[in-house]
Amino acid sequence: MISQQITLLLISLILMTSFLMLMQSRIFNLVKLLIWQNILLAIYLTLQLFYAVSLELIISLSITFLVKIILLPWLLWRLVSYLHLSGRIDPLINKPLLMFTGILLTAFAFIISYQIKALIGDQAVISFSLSLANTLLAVLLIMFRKKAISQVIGLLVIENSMFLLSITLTNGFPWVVELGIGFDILIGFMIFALFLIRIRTTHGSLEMRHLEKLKETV
Amino acid sequence: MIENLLLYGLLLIQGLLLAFLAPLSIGWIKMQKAWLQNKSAPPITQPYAELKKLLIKQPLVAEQASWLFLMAPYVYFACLLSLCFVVPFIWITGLATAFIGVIVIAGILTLARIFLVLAAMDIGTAFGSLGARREMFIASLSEPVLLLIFLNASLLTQATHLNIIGYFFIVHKGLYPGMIFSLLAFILVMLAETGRVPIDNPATHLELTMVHEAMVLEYSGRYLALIEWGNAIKFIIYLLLLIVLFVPYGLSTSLGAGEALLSIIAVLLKLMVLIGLVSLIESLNAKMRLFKVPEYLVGAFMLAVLGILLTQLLGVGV
Repeated sequence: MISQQITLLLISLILMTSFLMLMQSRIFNLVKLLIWQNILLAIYLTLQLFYAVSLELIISLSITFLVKIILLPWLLWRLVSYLHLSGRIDPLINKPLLMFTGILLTAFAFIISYQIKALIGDQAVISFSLSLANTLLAVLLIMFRKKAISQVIGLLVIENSMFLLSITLTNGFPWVVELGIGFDILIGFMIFALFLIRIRTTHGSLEMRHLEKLKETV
Repeated sequence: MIENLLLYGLLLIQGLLLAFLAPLSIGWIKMQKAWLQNKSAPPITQPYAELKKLLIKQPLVAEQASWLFLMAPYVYFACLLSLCFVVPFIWITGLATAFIGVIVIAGILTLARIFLVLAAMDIGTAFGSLGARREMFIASLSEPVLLLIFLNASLLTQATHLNIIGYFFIVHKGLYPGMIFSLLAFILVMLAETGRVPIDNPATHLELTMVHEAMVLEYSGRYLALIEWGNAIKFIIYLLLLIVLFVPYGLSTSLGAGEALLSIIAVLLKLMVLIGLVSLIESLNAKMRLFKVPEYLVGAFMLAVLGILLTQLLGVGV
């Protein structure tokens, strides 16, 4: 009973960090919130370990810890400092509208997941809907920002929520897959970082509107 | 009969005690802020000394002032004093909690604010009406959030009275994810409504950015004393609302002396921690631009809505 409550609380807190990310306009705050989200995810995994010890979970936990709490935030921090991105990034639409869209998406996720309640059971549906809402919020975070760096952060949030979805629905991946995903994210991040640096040297800024000019005219 | 009289007497004493202890909260927060800035702090009883000074001074009233200007501080203080008898402090119930629900609490807080705003506009100075407009601007955004937070608690507990809500949370101990969102929203709203730093600076009289101080600029003497005392009461009422809605554990539910003692210790500890938190927030943040305030309060609003959504999703039984 209490374990369920703590689990739900943690997932809700993860959702809350995503929601707070939508509200933030400073990049450093975004990175800090991402670190908090990863820490919450690691606590969640540790709790799972507490109930059912398995080698898969231990390896999964250590990979998560290494990649998500230590390596990625550090790299992100270095990238943000390297690109001198300490300022504000305002969303494309105004913030109240953005947050309202977030609320609508959350409600949408709740409704959608209740459609498959019979399939996955009463308890899983709550965690499932929260993780789904988290994913949708991350998509929102990617879509409505002017600068390319928040796309990277949004991608990492999506990865987190996918991870959460997989944990709530299954008993965990095989650890080889876990390792693969971890490295995938790292490599993806590297490519993104390189891209960002290239974009900045070519265009002189990371504003998305410069990138839109690359479109071919039809 | 005798027991009832004893009960009412105790609850009356509780309310009066709350009203008299309220300036201590302001003293404590000033001490904490001074410590955080590496200054030597004024004694914790400093607000009492200031109140005493203001009470013996002769009040000066502007020539254009109407009766409204003279009435407003009394109404303001009376409204907030009446809330002292509603909010649980030592016992889970106040003298009037049983017939004043949470919506009326929000209403009384609004009434107090309306009178202060009217008085500020009455005198006709630029500063007064500027502060009044800003106050209403902030209030119109923060009050819906407060009501939504109350709604969330009411949906969970099926009650609209603070004593029943608090009792529900004491009996059904648990982690309510919906209430966590409401807690965050409540902290944001509390800072806005009590005029704390990200929204307003209570320590300044000399800035164009001031909100609350601009309204009471024309008051002096005993009128100002009543308003200052009212502000202290308002601050402690918000803190106690936070305690009863989110961490009511330890509030005394019976008339026993031991339990009451425990409750006093618990509530004082909680107040000290909460005020410490507020002073930390105040010291770490700069004052926000006025046109950034809607974003901040809309964020609080959305968090409150999300809390209600979560409560609906999870249900009470979790």
